[in-house]
Amino acid sequence: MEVYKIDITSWTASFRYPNLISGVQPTLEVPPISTILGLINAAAGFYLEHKNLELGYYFEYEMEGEDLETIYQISSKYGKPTNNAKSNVINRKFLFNNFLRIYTTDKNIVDYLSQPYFPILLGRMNDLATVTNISQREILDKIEFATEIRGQVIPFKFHLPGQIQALPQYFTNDFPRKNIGTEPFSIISHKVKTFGTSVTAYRDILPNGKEVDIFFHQLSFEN
Amino acid sequence: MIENNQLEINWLTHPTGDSFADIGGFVIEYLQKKKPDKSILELIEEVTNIYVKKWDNNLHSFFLNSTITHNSNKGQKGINKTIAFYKGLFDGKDAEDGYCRITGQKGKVFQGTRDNHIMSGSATLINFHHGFESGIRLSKEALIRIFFVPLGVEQLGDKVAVLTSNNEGITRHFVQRNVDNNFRDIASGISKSIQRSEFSNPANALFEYANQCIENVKTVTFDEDTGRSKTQGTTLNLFHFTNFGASPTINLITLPASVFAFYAYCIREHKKEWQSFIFRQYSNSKFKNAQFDDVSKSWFNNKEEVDYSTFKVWRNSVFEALLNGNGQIIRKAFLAHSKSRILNFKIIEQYQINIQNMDKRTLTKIKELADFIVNDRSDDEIKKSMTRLNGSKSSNGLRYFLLKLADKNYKDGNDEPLFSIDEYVEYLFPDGTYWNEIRDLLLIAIYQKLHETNKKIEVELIENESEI
Repeated sequence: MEVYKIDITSWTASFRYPNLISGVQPTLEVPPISTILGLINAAAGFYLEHKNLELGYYFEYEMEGEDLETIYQISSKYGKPTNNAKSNVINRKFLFNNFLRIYTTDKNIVDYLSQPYFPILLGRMNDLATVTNISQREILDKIEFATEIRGQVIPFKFHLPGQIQALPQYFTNDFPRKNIGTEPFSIISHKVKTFGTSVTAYRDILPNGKEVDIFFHQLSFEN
Repeated sequence: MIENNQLEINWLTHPTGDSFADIGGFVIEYLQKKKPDKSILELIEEVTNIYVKKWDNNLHSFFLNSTITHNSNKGQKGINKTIAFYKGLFDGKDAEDGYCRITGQKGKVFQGTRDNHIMSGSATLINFHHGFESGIRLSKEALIRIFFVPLGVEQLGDKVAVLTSNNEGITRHFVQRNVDNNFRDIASGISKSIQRSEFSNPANALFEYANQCIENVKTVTFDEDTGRSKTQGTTLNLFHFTNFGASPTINLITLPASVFAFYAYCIREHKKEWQSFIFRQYSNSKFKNAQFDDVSKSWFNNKEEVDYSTFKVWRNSVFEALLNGNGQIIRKAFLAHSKSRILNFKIIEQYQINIQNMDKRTLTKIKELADFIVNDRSDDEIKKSMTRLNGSKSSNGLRYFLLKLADKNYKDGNDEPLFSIDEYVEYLFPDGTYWNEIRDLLLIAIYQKLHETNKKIEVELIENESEI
């Protein structure tokens, strides 16, 4: 498969569990597909309609930390926000020193990320990220029964070892935005070792010289 | 969008990836199997009766101010309101069109907040939801599944434990066990709330769950063909939470597949030595000056003696370190244990290779060095070597120690070098390995060798504190 590779780094990142809203905010170890597509939209400067998009990505971080964060809770009346906002403190976990590599066959995505329209983020608005490298088109070898799956989310149907989570693939462009394509995924940390799978993937070499097998998600969205 | 074929999927029970919804789904699946004549509304009615009449509305850790838990909903009033709410879901009352946040279904969705879902935020503090919506949007199936969660989980200390695994059979097994235990206790009139675990800390509980998967729960992981449980590629995830009042909180703890496999290896292949090691890692501040007795497998002091059934709930520093990935604590525990007892070096090899990602050739080289230090040496020589090795306080100190060994090997007239330049660089000081890890492993290997050869070397090693 011939792909472009786009490398993105950030100091901090935080990927929330979609339905954990009360109390402590843990972070997923790998961003969901919707985060990557949102990041690409930010770079494009507009909402992209995807049909037959092939997308792969790899994510790693150096450490996980926990921060105390001030939040403001706006109360409502009859479903409408009021002027009453109370501050509170929550614990939020975050990831430090992050590396994301996006794999795409779409030259438009490369063009958007080579000159992002809006700032690109890996989580919240203060998790600013930077595009550090964009490769020329490269051929990745196809691997049947991939063994180097890590730093990715993989559809749960493969039953890979990892945290299981229902994750959205994209959001609609209306208001309020709605999650679409929510499915169960296995979240495979970049820290796991080699293990056998029935997954077909494409092999790449990371900047640190380690091999990784990249799973390509086939994405089509029709609202 | 690639739509799921909704006609073929039973969204009340189909795994979704959401831990709460999946537990609830497995409870429904099990109840439908046990009571095939009952409709889902009849099951909701039966469960509501348990929650109100048997458990006295005591579900505050799950549902905040709900039709069950709000003070104004005691007795029959709570039952009526609850059944009316779930009937209303089937009638599409207050529904809007959208996508379920959990199942991904497109269709009628309802408001999900802390009264009918777990940890999903308040309906009134609306800036935590998309577009100032009052809660997250969930299908009726997702909301119904959540209602059944309390029957499939257990209380662990002051919070609730939700256990899931990438192996659906394991998740199902523990859900069914909890459902059975609940119904047994309800039938005998002793059930006052959800099942309570005998453990209070999540680390011990997770390893106990793993232990059951490895040893006892043959229906889940047992392979008839091989006669062994499948223990590769199994992850356990524990959601330890409370949705109670103003302090909702959740802690996510994962027992990774690598740790699960290591634990299975220790229990199966070296059970006696592993238990001798791991039992010594339990501690309790209320049980002071305690010592462990290998024969009776019990902790004792001058006042009392306690067996596994008592000390298994004490804190275990190695279990905690295995979950936190704190290799230094585990290595120090291995070393401390090796000084006085046999700890098969294969356990350390498994740990270093499969969890610490150490190259097997590094461990082979370490064992060769241990052989060189112990074989054909006097007790005095061995003692000196061990004291010098333990006294290495920096990478320079360890390098000097190794070079002295190489020098000794040369002066002994051996044909082969003790280690080549490549082995020194690649295996003894490889990238990503701390020098003190090599020093400790070499000491452990020496102790192993001394135990094997029945050598008694009296050497006082000073504890090296928190080096990097």
